[in-house]
This record gives sequence, C-alpha cells and structure tokens, in this order.
Amino acid sequence: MKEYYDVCIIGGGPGGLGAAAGAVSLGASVALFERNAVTGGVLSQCIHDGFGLYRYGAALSGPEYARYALDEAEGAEIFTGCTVTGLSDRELTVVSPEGLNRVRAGAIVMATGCRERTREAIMIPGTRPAGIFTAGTAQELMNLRGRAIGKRAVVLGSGDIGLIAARRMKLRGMEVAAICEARDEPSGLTRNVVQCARDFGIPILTGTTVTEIFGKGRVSAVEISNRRGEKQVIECDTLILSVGLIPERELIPGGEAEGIFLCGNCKRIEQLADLATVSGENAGKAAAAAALGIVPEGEVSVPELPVLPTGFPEDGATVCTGCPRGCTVKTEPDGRVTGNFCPRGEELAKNPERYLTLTVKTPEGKSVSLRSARPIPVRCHLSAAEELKSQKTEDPAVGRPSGLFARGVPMIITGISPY
Amino acid sequence: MNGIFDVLVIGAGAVGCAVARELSAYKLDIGVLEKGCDVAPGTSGRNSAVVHAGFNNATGSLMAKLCVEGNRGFEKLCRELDVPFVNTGKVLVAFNDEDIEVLKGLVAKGKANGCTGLSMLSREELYARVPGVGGIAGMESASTSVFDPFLYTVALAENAQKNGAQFLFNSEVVGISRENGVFRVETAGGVFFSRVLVNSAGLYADKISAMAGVEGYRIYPCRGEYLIFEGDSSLLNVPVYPAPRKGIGGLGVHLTVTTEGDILVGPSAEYIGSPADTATTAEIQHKLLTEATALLPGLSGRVPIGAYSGIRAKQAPPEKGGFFDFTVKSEPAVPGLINLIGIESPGLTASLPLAKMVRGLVAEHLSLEAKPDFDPTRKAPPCFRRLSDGERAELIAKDPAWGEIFCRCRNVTKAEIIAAINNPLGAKTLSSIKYRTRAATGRCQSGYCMGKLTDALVTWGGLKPGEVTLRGRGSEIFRGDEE
Repeated sequence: MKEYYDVCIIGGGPGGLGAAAGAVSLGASVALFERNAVTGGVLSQCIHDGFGLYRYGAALSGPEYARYALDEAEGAEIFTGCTVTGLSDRELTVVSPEGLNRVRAGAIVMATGCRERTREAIMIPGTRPAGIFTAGTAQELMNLRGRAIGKRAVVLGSGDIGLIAARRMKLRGMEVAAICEARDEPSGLTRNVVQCARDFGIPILTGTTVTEIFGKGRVSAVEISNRRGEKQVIECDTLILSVGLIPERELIPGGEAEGIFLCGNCKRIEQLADLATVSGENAGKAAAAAALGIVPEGEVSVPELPVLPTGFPEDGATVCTGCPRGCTVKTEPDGRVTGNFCPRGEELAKNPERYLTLTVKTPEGKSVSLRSARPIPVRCHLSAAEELKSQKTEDPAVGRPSGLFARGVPMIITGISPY
Repeated sequence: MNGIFDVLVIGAGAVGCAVARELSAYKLDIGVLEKGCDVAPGTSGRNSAVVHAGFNNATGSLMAKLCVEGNRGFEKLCRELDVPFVNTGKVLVAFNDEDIEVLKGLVAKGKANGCTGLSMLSREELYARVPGVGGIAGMESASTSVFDPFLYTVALAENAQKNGAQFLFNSEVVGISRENGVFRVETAGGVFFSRVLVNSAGLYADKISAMAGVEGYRIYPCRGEYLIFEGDSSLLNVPVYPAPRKGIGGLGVHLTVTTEGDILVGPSAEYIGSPADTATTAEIQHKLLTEATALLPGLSGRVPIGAYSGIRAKQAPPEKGGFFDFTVKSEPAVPGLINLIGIESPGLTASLPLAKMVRGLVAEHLSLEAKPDFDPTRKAPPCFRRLSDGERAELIAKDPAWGEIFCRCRNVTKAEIIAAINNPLGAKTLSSIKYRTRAATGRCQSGYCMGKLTDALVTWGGLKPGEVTLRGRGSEIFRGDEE
C-alpha cells in the first residue's frame, strides 16, 4: 500500500468498481479499499440473474456481474479486507490484518453503498425474538453461508428485494405465508411480482402492514393490519423486512466536501447495479480529473432504459422472460395470445420457463451458486429445488458445470462463496 | 467442597453478582444459580444505566441510604472492575413555577439524604448547560453518572469467579426444601445443596421466597419502555429529565446518554400481568417519541436504532401505589434464607452496599474467614474503538485479528468477538457477544454482522449452527434443514 494515490475509492461494490475503471481511464493512480474478503458488494450474494442487461448486454447473476466489473477495474490496486475507519482532509485511515495505514488521496470516491431499514427504525411493537431478518441479511445467510433461516415466513415489503427474498425462501423449501405491502400496488417490477410471488402461490396483501410481532425466544406469529383496521394474526417463525435502503455516509458526518465524490447507493439508491456502475464511472472520472488537475470530460451517459412495468400484472397476463425484452403476454378470452414480440412468446405465455438459480454446498460446507444451463418450466422449479436439496458439488469452478442436474438440465456454477 | 455450598445465590443480576463477589473474599464455597444463559438477562440488562444521586428516595429509607453510599463508591468500583463510567451529571428542567418548586424540594430532600453536588440552575445557566432543551430554570445533580450495566455485571461475575465463585447457568430453581439445616435446591440443571440461600431473583423473588417457605411477599411487575437513538454529543451529552409532575397523562419522559454516546428515551411506567412480558407497545413507543422530541427538538426527524423494555420488581401494588423500601431480610422462620425483595431503582446504584449488607447477614450464619489472596480487581480486554490509532496498530501487529472489523457500526474487531465468545463465564450466545462488545447494537442492528457473528459462534464457540441462539434455548437463529 502506497502513502499516496491520486484517487482513493472507499467500497468495492458495483459503484466502486465502476469508479476504479473511470479513474484508471484518465491515467490516475487508483487504490480501492473493500472491507470484505472479496469485491462485489451485495452482488456477491445476489445469485439470481438479471444484472448487466445494459452494461454488459447479458442477464448475469450478481457474482458474474461483479467479476465483469472487477475486470473493468484493471489498473487499480484493489485492497480487500481493508476497512476505512477514518477520513479527514483527504487522508484515509485504513485498518486491516496487515496493520493500520494512513493513505493520502488527491481525491476520494465514496462508494459505501447503503444499509437496510430496520424493524427498530419503523417501530414495529411487540417482542424482540430471534427470526427477524432484513431481506439482505436473510439473503446473505442463505446464499453465502448456506443457513436455514426458518420454516415459515412473512415478508414485509413488496419491492424487488422483498419479492426476490420470498422466492429464494420458497426454493429453500420454506413456506412463505404472505408478502405485505403498505401501498395499494406492489412496488417491485411486474416481472418479479409474477416470477417471485404469483408463480409460487404467495399472496401479496396490499394496503397492509405488520403491526405487532409475537414470540418469546423465536418469532411465533405476526399481526398484520390493513387500512380498514382489520387485523389478522399469521403464524410464522420468520419475519423478513424489506422496507427501504438508507445511504451510508457515516465517514463524512459533515456531508459532501470538496475532493470527495459520491457514487452508487451512498449517493442515491439506484434501481439497477448497471446504474450504480455508471454513477461510479462518472465519479471516478471526476475524482481523477480533480486529482490530476485536468478538465473533466463529459459524463458517461446513463443508458436509456425502457420503462419497466411495476405492480400487479394485468389479469391473465404474464411476463415472458425468454429474452430481456420481457414482453407482457396475455391470453385473451377467445384463446388468442397477444403482446408477444416473437413467436416463442405464445408458447411461453402458456408454459412459462425460467432459469433456475439457487445454491448448494461442497462437501466441506462452502456455498456455491448455480444457474440452470437453460430455462426450465416454472411449474417444475420447486420440485427441481427439492431434487437438488442436500446434493453436493465437488471442486467447484466458476462457469463450469456443477455435475448436478435439475430435471435433466445441467446446473452451471456462477459463484463460490468466500466464507 | 463436599457437595454442599456455603452460599447459593439465586439470580445473576447485578445484585446477585455483587453478592457473589463480596462473599468470594472469604473462604466460602459460593454458587450462583441463574435460569438464563448469561448474567444480567433480566432487569439488570434493561434499565437507564444511571448511577443515581439519591435525591428521589424517601428520606430515612434504606433506598436513600444505600443509593447515596453506592453513588459515592461507584467510580472507584468501576475502576477496580475496569468498566466504563462517565460522571456526566444530570439536569432536571422546570417549565413553570410549579416545576421550580418541585425541583427545590428535590434539592432539599437530596441534602437531607446526604447527596452532594445539588444546585438550582437559572435560565441562563440551564441554557449554557443544555442548549438544545427549553425550560425556564433547572436543577443540576453533579454526582449523577452513567455506566454500562452489562459490562458492570459481567465484570462483577468474572471477578467473583476469579476468586472462586461458581456460576451455573440454565439452572432455573423449581423447588426448595430443607433437611438438617441444609437447603436442597432443585433446578433445571441439577440438584444442589447449600447452608445459606441468598434470594436475589428480582422479578421472581416472591416465588423463590415462597418455595423456600416464606410466603407473603408479592412482586408487582411494572414495565418501562425505552427507545434508543444514535448519539451525537453536540445534541446531548448529559442526561436531561423534566421536573417530575404528578398525574399529567404524559410519561414525563427522560433522556439519558449512554457510555457509548447513544440517547435513551424513557422509561414509561405501566403495571403489567406477567414478569416476563418485555414487549413494547405502539401507544407508548409513539408517546416516547413525541415527548422526547418536545423536550429535545434536535431529535426531530431522527429514527430510533432500538427499543426495549425493562420490568421493575415493585412491591407497591397498582391500586395502592405508594412507597415500598428495599426488603433485605434474614428470615427468622427459615434460618439461612436471606431475601432481597423489591429491588427496583436505585438497585443498580446500591448494588455494592446491598451486597455488603447481605454479607453482614451471611456472617450471622457462617463464619467469614478472609481469603488472603482475594483480588477485587478485574482487567477488561482491550476495546478497539476506544483506542488511539497507535494503540490499534500495536495490537494488530501482535495479532492480525485486531485488524479485521466485524461490526462496522461500532468498530468491533474479530479479536474482540473471539474473546467475547471465549468469555470466562462460558456464555455463548449472540446477546453474550452484544453485552461484552456492543457489536450488533448500532444503526444497522446486526444487518451486516449477523452472518459473521453467527459463523464466529460456530467456528470459535464450537456450536452447531442449530445451537446458535439470540439468548439461549428457544431463541435459535437458524431453523430448518441446512443444505
């Protein structure tokens, strides 16, 4: 670790990696500090796909996207296992098992991401038993540490994160009693409402929130209430909270300052990893320009995104996930299929297929994320997951077949947990 | 030991652990029976964490006497135990003339009780002391302080253990009988015998006393809810309480700063049916928020990082109310039974004086021979976040585990987590780690460290994943089939 870099980046998620690429491209010396053992940030635990459609033109899983983004950052010095504990006047204090270092920077990019809003912050009354998890924590425990977090869950929050968590729990063999959503429509993408909730028979209860938690040692039930004041108690042993993300800016209590450039979720919560990376690239370039005293070039433009529908699908409609276009395909009362851009859509509307993503373990207990080599009929996903349960994969290599099959379809390795 | 303890203490709260430590200075076989899986699982772990001055207690009462005595000795005790203690003082605020009279009354009562450092504050002095709070006048209590009740109780217990006391967790007392002058105590963890029983079972002291043959005591659980806010010394660095008012409908909410700098709001006061009902309620949580923001407008817009409730072991019944003093009694009907009943506030402040009183009562039954090698001091493990960069670098050079941060909200390192898991008392739960390190108590509420801490309990605590709990059996974090 040197004593000075033109650009120091705090955080190695999709934003920080983009910043590294941006800063390197202007010829700056760049150091990136990541507190975890690997870069990738939250992407390391996002084993489902859909990442990188815009930046890399493919529907990647989180770990795959993270590898692409790390490749783009070539030329930067990446320090993992390093936590920035202090920041003062462009001097970083970096703590790691190797020691405590002071590093000066010409300019700094903060890519510290966000944290999840907690039960305490939204003041849900009741007891404080085990079994309450924010969705990201539940995801980490299941996907990177292979833990069984419960038997029957209620999810609060129908944004994409809550929907994805619900599906993940179903594939783990858990019951998901309901997804509660305070607003009148689910806030996640329609695509996710369909493929995470509807296809797994999980009811989404709108205008509803969790109003009390019960359970002495472990959650035993939650009370939910709707706008009409009607209450219902749902027995469960797990409550998953997906109630918002909060930018993490604790290193700069005084707010933004000269020489410090924010990017990604710590600047503004982004809907897609691709957007966090673009945000990072721009911050990296601006930081490099500031450090080198050169005129910053024009910003990398945000890719033009099609407006993706959110909320419930139309009655009788489904979202085809045969390609990134994601057409909303509908079967009319007279049997005709409409809305599909290509002929496959007609078939897919009747028999939806999707890539199956889940995790298995090595005999040593390491979690490995898999994706089916081809889409599998949605109606077979639960039984395929059941089939793969408790099977092990040996000597995993990313991108290679795992040796395991779901309904005869090979399962390919997309990531290996660092734990 | 021939299988018979000299003294069994029932309840490992702050008072029970203080008693064990006090008695461990003598050549006695001492055991502490605790139904939970760690020390301070009950009221000792759910309170305002204040070392009170003693002006709130009835003049001439045991509470007043022991509170003042406890306050005087607390700083020295915390130094011996190497636990955090901050002499913040405390400010009470008057909003009208009636309040001012009440505060003057408290100053007088305090002086009568032997408190020091009590004075009235003018409006200017009040503003200078706590600029973020309104009010027309105030009262300062210079001898009021804050401490960490978790580390305090842990330290008392560790020191008692170092001097020979045994701690037996998961040992709920279910039956007590007496034969030939020896108590037979049946617990969930086995049967034990003892010459003397000290009942410091807090919320269950009435039941334990009845089991031992002395009925007639009754504990009325009275719950107090709290909110926790992340602190900011520019916002508040001294506890602030409004002047107490009778029957106003509001809670008269208190603001207390902790040794971590966080802000506690509360407690409320509500008689409840069960001594185990530590739930929080929507109604009171919102009242706490509203009143706290009215008292300290700078809190407006902030969200809490935590909520909890503690239950007072009151002897005063709800219909009658009124004042009940501490009961510390060697029971004549059952020789060898020493009861501690109704130890509510200022129980923590008075914990050492209470322990000394108990020692005096034990001396009536057993001969107390001092141990020449008794060591009242206990050294705490280093606390990374309180160290300078130079000290941190030194520790990392000795052991790289000091350079790996597990809890990023509180800056708690892997080395501290491992030390907390390997604590001398043998408690291995998430809450045991929280008590000893403050990990998992910050703004993300273990969102980012739950995985690391639970893995650590497996790797270094030797637990199977299904044995990792929040606070003992029944609170398992993981459930279902592992992959």
